[in-house]
Amino acid sequence: MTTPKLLISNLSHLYQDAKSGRKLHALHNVSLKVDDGEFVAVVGPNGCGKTTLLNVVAGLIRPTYGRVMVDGVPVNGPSGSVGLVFQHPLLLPWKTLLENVSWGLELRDVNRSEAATRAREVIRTVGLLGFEDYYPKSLSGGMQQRANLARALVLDPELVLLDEPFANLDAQTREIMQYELVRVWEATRKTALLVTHNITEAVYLADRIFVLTKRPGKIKDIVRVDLPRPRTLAIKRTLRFLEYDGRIWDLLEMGEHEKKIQCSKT
Amino acid sequence: MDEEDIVTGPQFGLKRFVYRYAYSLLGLTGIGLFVSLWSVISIVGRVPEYLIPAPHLVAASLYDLFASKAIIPHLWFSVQEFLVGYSLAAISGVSLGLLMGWYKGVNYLSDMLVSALYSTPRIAFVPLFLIFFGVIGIWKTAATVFIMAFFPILVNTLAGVKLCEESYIRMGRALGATDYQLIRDVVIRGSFPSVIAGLRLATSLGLTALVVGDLYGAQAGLGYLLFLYGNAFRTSEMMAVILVFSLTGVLVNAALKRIEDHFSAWRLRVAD
Repeated sequence: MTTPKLLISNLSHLYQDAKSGRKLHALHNVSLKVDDGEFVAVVGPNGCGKTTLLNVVAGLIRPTYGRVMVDGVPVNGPSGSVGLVFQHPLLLPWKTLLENVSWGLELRDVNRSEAATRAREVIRTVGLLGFEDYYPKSLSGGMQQRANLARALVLDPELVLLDEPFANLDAQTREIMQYELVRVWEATRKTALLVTHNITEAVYLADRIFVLTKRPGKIKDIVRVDLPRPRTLAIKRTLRFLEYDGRIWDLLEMGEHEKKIQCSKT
Repeated sequence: MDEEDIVTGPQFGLKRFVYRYAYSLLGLTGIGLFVSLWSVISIVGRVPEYLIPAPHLVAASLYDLFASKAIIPHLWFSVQEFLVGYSLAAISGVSLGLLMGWYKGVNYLSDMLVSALYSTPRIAFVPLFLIFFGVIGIWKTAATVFIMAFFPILVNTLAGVKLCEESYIRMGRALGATDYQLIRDVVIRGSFPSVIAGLRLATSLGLTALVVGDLYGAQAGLGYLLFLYGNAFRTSEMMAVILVFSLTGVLVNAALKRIEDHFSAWRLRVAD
């Protein structure tokens, strides 16, 4: 058996409010396995600990309990093997697109000209060639988000984490960006973990979908999406796609409905 | 697009000139009006010369001060005092501000002390500096410049670091940046506008210190010269020295503004 790309076992996380001392149970006993080259999505209602999960995998948060391993190596802090694509582009406004993308390489003491060459390559992949010398302020929201993706990809990570990367884009740009992401992913086949509350997005992008419950987040179900690749935008209007979409909606809302019914009975 | 806005408007001739320099022209007009009013008051109003000398008399005094080279040693003395005090204040203020903003421990350690000193009228230290450094040499006034300029630089740097967006830091950490790299590439650049604002404030306070530092027992410097002429009721020379102070302040601030603009090309200012 080969080692999975990402292995999360019995992960639980509690936040403690420094002032009130109250504890917030964000994640409860989450275990999951992602294979090499797989695109996995995690969906769940607001406050189910999706972002906490990503931060733990990225090494930005030390979990209260449980273990995270990338390629069989425990995660003890940020490392080059995990790339994070943020919800907000977070490009440094005083750096040009090229400088922003190559920054991660320069932090690792890659020399300037090699960093620029590699950055340019990734910029081409995300379709921003010609904009290298632009400052983030003169790039559109979609372009900034492509740059955000490029910044993660340039480090050639083993695993790419995407934290609701298209949540702040308008509907049309989001569609285009989803398609672009599919294109880039199908070209690179990087293992990817996407966190989103947009179900259509999850179905369109992922091979498997983990559905989380409301706080504390637990894995409720895993849905394998057997849609053919390469996926075009047209696939979103096929019956099979809509079936997956409906199934996940049901999984997410079922709990809420049950509670409501029970409440009205008593 | 922002770039298009800049190139709109008349393209040629006098109109273009007026359009491009509208703000500067208005500013000069303001100064012109002020000088005219001043002339009217001192000449038509027959105010005695030792109270309000006419602008042309002040201009003549200014010319004489430089032509006779009488001001040069004092100017040089003050420039040294200012440069020494201001540079020390800038270096230590920015460094301590960065440390206080970045390391909570340093912040807690020094916060009370800084607040206490910040609320103290710093001119109160001048007699102390007189005892420390004596009347001769640049050090007592340089120390006054330092104590006046240090706090606005420190406080503004600190505010700049605290304003620096937490999310950029998080992003940098996720990319694997060390503390040193984050300070160098994110914090310093992010707090730059605040630091410059502090340096500008410090300029005018530092120039004030040049006068205040020379209050007691000074033997050279622009402040000394100012009091010398003041005591002799040579008002027009006195005003000429004040004018030298103003021009110095304007020059230093313009230089700082150039530096700021150089480092904020990305912000693409349209109007200031």
